[in-house]
Amino acid sequence: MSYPWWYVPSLTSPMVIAIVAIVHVLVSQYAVGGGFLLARENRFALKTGDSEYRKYWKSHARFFILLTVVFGAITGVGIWWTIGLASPLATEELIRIFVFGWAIEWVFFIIELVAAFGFYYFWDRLPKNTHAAMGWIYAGAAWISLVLITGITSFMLNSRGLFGDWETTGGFWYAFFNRQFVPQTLLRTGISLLLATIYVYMHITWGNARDTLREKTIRRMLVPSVAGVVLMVLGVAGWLVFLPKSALMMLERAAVINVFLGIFAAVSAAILLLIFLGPMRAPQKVSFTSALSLFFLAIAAIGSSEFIREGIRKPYVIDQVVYGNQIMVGQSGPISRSGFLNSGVWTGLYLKDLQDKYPRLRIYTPANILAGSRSTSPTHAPLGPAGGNRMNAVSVADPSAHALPSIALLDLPEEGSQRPGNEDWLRIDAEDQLELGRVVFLHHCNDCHAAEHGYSAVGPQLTGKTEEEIISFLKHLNRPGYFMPPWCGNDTEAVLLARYLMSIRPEMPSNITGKTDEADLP
Amino acid sequence: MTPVDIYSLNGLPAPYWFIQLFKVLGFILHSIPMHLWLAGLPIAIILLLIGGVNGQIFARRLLKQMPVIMAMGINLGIVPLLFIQTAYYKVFYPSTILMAWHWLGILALVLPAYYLLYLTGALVDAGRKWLPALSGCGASLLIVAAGLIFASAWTLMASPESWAELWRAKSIGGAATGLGSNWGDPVVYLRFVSICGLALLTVTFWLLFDSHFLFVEKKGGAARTRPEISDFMQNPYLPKSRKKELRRLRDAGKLSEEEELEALEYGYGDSEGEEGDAYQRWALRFASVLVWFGVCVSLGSLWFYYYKVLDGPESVTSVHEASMTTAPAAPIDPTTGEPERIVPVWIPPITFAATALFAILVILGNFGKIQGKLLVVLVGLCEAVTLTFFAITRQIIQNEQIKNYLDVRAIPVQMQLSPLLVFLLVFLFGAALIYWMIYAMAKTVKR
Repeated sequence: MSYPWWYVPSLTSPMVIAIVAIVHVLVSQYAVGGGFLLARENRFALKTGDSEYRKYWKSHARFFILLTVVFGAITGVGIWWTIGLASPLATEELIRIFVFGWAIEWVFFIIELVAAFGFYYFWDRLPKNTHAAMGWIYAGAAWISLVLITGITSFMLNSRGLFGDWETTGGFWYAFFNRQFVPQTLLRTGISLLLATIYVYMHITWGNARDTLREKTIRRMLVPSVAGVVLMVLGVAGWLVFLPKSALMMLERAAVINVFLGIFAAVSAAILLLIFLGPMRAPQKVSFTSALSLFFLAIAAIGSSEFIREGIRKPYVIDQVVYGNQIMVGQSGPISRSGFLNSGVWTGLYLKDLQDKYPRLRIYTPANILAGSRSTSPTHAPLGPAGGNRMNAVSVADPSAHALPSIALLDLPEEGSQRPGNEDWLRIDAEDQLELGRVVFLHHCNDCHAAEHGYSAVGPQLTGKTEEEIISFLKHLNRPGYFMPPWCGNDTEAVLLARYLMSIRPEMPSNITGKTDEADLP
Repeated sequence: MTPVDIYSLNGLPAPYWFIQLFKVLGFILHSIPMHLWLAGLPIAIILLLIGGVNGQIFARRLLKQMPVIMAMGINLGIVPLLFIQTAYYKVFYPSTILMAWHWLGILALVLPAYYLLYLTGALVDAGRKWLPALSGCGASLLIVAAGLIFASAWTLMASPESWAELWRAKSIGGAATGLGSNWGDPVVYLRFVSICGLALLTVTFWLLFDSHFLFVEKKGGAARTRPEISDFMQNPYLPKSRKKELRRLRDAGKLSEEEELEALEYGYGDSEGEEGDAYQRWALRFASVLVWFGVCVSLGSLWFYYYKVLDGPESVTSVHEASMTTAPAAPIDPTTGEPERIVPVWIPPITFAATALFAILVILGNFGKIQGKLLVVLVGLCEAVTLTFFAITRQIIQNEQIKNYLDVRAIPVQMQLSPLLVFLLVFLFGAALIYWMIYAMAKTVKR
């Protein structure tokens, strides 16, 4: 509730993350697997003295650098920036917990970069052993950066630790070595190897390489391909075993995830079959078209797996830490009692502006909550262990150091009571009520739902429902669908949101109306 | 009411000084390549088109180095950005969300610019002149646009008092559309110009460094190379008619030794080293011109920072009149009754002195009073001091500008000791490994 919500029409802002992420993963996984292949094949060429083979790998290194160092690096920054825009609270939390993980990863990025440039630009100039060593340094650094980022992203799916829980211990290592860490590391390493071989098939078949060179190169990809498949199978098995229960249930109950799971399984099987029939059994027959087909299948597999990965995390964006709608777990109750609109900095600002039109409108933004109830002194409770107690972590730092009134978010009404005054909102103009409902919608629901049209648009899902039904649904948001965050508003806000949703809800389709008893329709 | 939520602050994972140290250090490291692509690129393009032989040597060398410089700049930019998000997230996220599409636009600008730089390098390699100038020009324009957006973002981050208006103008249902911008704020342009001034100094330093440390190393190799037809075709310093003539002579086997060397001038220098010396002399002459621009703009911007930005604003108003929080201007020093100095009193003189000394050294070098690598080392030291103090000043000012909303220094520390130690160890290990790799490459070049 600290940050403005970024509204992206139709698509929703988290979907921007998905788009950038898929594009990035396609290149970053290649940066890891391709690094290994370059180091391995360069070493092999040096050992066997095959200058033609080595020459090919030099040309592949150029392609590799142009793709990974440029596109991979920029889209990597792109993911980072997009998560900061679309999920600022989650990013804030991840950086708080893993800042040194990222800092270590940065060191390996620089190592990767220097090694990659040295490896390519000094291809024929470095002593052979030094050149080979530089290739392996690149491969090692790239793989370590994969391990580091996997420790962070896997925590988002399962925050429970292998050796102890981060929630109770608050330690970096407990968060890093979470239960999904090993399976996802295996999985990503496997994908990297397999994907890199597909890039090699494309690259070697695109150029005018001699048939023997082409065949040899493709044959040499067999071991990494098989290793990749084995690692992937182990990774997927571990991933399933260590999924949180909510995620496992999502795999079974959510139709869209079922579909994507089916696509992922079918496409993965198709990739394996094609690799078996093509590069494994008849490497001489592999053409650019078939390699490109493999690549498109890989895009489909990675795209669907990313969708599944994101989808089964719901309602969290970070497992048991932050909900998808940028509310910390454990704060939904206090926020609900205080009022959703009152609790947010920017929703509060919206209310303040509304006061210009309705001067007698009573609002309770954090600042005047304080003015009305200074009885609770600012919270100076220790912030708890590093990365630890989340409720403590919301306490204000040292408010006396700020030229601002000192309050804490925890300075909230007791359970069972509500801030008075919100019923005022139901007495303002209908148009303004709808607009307030829209504010609630955008800040509470827009992370997963577009409004009338677009990604998982909520309007069409409510056709046929009455206002009362919608209100009742909103108040128990996480009951029928545990994959939704709990309702964080108060009763008045539920009414406002319901009225807004009613306004964007399309009418019952005429062909349905014709076949239904009119009296049954709302 | 304030747009900065200080009610839900997380503790810092490391002491304040540690975060500031790495943020500033990261910024300094990032700024060197950033300066080169910001100011070096347009200078190189101009020299490529209208420069003499030596100007073209520098232009072609820099344009070929540019993809590597770009890669280093982008990666070195990660650390300051990481530590901004560690300590300044309460101001960083809101400001970037308000201008989200502009912020993301940086990536859309930098990506094609990066590829254009590769293209430029390849075209330079092929001995072309107008095409690399054109693609380099495109890259430069994209980079300047990205730089302006960066300047806009950091300006917006440091002025929370302007957020509400921006949000009101560009929001739907209270949600930011991400289309906000502060292009009307003159500070954006002043910030950008100040970076350009420093960038000119960095280019001056790089010119001297390249000509004295990198260029001359290649001289020996050139003497051992026999000219190929491609050498004639690619040599940018030869008129077309002369190229044709040389090719004819070569094909007829009548090429004299002198004429062979003529072909090798391109990027190598001749066997006697005269070309290298001439290039170094030219570099000094050109540096002494460039440094004037750099010093004037840098000193102007430093003056602006020290004596203008720090004087104002008179007061900082909060986002909403209904609950206005008027913060005081610079705090009053109780002993003197004057506004308290935000930047320690000794920082401006050192920064000014280092910048001035930078110029004096270059000019002395031009007159032959100090020469060779010693001159470059001394200029490099001045450059380092200038960049360091500028970065420190910038940080102090940033802290001061947002202090009324968020006092980073007051945030308690939730120390993450073991990961921090691992990071430091990895950092040292990484530095050693990188040193070894660069050493191995440098040794190869020497050979």
